[in-house]
Amino acid sequence: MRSYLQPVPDPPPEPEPSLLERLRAGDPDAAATLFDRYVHRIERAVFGIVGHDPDAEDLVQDALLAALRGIHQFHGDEARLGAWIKGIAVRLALKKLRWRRTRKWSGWLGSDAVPTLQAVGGTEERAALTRAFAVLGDLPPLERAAFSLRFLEGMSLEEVAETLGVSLATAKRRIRAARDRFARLAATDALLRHWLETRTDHA
Amino acid sequence: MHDDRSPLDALIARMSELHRASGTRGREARQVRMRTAFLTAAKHAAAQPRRSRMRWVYGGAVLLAASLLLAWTLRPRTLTVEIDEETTLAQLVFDAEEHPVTLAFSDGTRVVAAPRARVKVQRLREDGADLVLLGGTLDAELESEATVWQVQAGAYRVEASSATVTVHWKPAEETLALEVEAGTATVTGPGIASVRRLEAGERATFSSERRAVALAPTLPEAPAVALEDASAEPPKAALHRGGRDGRDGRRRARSSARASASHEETTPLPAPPEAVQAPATDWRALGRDGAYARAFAAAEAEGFADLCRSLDADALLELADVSRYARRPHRAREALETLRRRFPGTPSAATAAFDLGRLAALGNAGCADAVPWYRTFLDERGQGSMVAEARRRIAACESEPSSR
Repeated sequence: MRSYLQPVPDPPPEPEPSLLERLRAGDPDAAATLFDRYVHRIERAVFGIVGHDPDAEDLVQDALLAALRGIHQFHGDEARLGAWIKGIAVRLALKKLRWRRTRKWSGWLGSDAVPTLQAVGGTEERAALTRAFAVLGDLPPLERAAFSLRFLEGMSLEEVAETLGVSLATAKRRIRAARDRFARLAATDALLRHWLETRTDHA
Repeated sequence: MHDDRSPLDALIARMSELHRASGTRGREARQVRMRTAFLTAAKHAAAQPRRSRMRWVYGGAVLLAASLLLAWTLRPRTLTVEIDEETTLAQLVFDAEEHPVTLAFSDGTRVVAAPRARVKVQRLREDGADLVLLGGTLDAELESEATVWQVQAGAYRVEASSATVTVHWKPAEETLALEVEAGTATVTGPGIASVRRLEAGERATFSSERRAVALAPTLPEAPAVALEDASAEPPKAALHRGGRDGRDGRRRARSSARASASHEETTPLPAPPEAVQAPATDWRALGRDGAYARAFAAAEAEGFADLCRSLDADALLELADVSRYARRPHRAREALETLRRRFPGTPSAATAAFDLGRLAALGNAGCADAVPWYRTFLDERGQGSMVAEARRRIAACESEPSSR
């Protein structure tokens, strides 16, 4: 009687450990993956909120480091990991805004940093935009964050709500309030008011 | 191309353009920079995972140490007692020979042993003290409700808290007299079924031999004006009599003790309130027996003004005491002022000044009227056992907010 050796199937390949598992296991390469996967959305949220603050890069890095250190406190699944890290980044950014606002009031800090305005053609427009970013810096932190994410970063209402961790209705209300306040403050600035009136005449 | 946007919207749009342009500019270089910095920091953080844990350990240790320190600081502390400003140990027996001895406890309680009283501080606790009265009179102003004080006298035990009481014990006759001026006190011992509770204004005598209890009712109510003035003065007859330095005071104390002893042998019940109106023959004897209302009525019947004119200084002090304990402060003041007019410059006049201060302290003006009298006393009497008490009362008055 002949016997046949039955082919033994190869064992199924071990599933790749997820990023979350690797982070929890202390995999040294997981930090690089974490950075590459989430840096864009974190950067967008942070820059959207604090603008072109010299410390914005540090805030991004601090948020990712905080996530790395506190990964054992995160109990969600990997799909929620990005939102969790973004939440950390937003809290840090808002904290930064509050700190800056306090320092500004107390006279320890000058005006907010503004984007490079070299590309702006006219002197008058450059001055108006400088004033406009200064007005933006005078908004309360939560309103400023909503305003910047919506109008400067160009996020949808849903994205703003998700980034700030608030309901859609709250996000809408906050954006509206921020825009109204921005308009009021702009109207009290002589240079900006003149610039806006001029534009109205042109329109 | 025509722009339909409002100028404000156009401005915001322009800000957005600049914001985005600025964000895009140098993004790659920025991200490389951030990546390098992040990975370096991540490696550093991974290499020192224990530091974080150690920080908690250190923090916990500091917290524990702080808690222990706090617990040590707030631990219940046993009271201490001072006699003549010297800390005294428990288990020692004090003999108040010719002058009263004040035991000042660290919670503010003051217990005065009248002349010839023998007292032992049996035990000092966190919440009070146990005293043994071996004989004589103890006058206690118990300050705190949080403390419980026990006075053991023979087989009797008096317990009080936040009260003003006078305890008199005759070991030979095994007779205990307890008077409660303020608050309440309880007594247990022979002849008492369970616990006898005495309220403010009550006085009782307990005799071990006869197993009898004589309970005096509350002192009769005085007119409204008198009540207002005499609301809280403890009956310190024994202390007072002993507290007056000099031969007269000692003689008075001895005579008082004799009179008190004879009273308790016959165990008459103190007169009921209506007895105030009844005629009495010897106001001094009645006063020494503690029947102040009857003594005062007797003095009035004899003619208070005549007494003020005719009595010697020592008797005038007694008359003032009787009036005060009978809740007639205006009469007490009259007797004391007469004494000072008739016997100026004498030790009795100085004592009268002190008593006038005590009366004034209970009046409407309170400390404002009392302090000058205490100062007069100090001016006229530079030394003696009541000097410290006068200074303490001045200090207490001066520490009151209204007096600042």
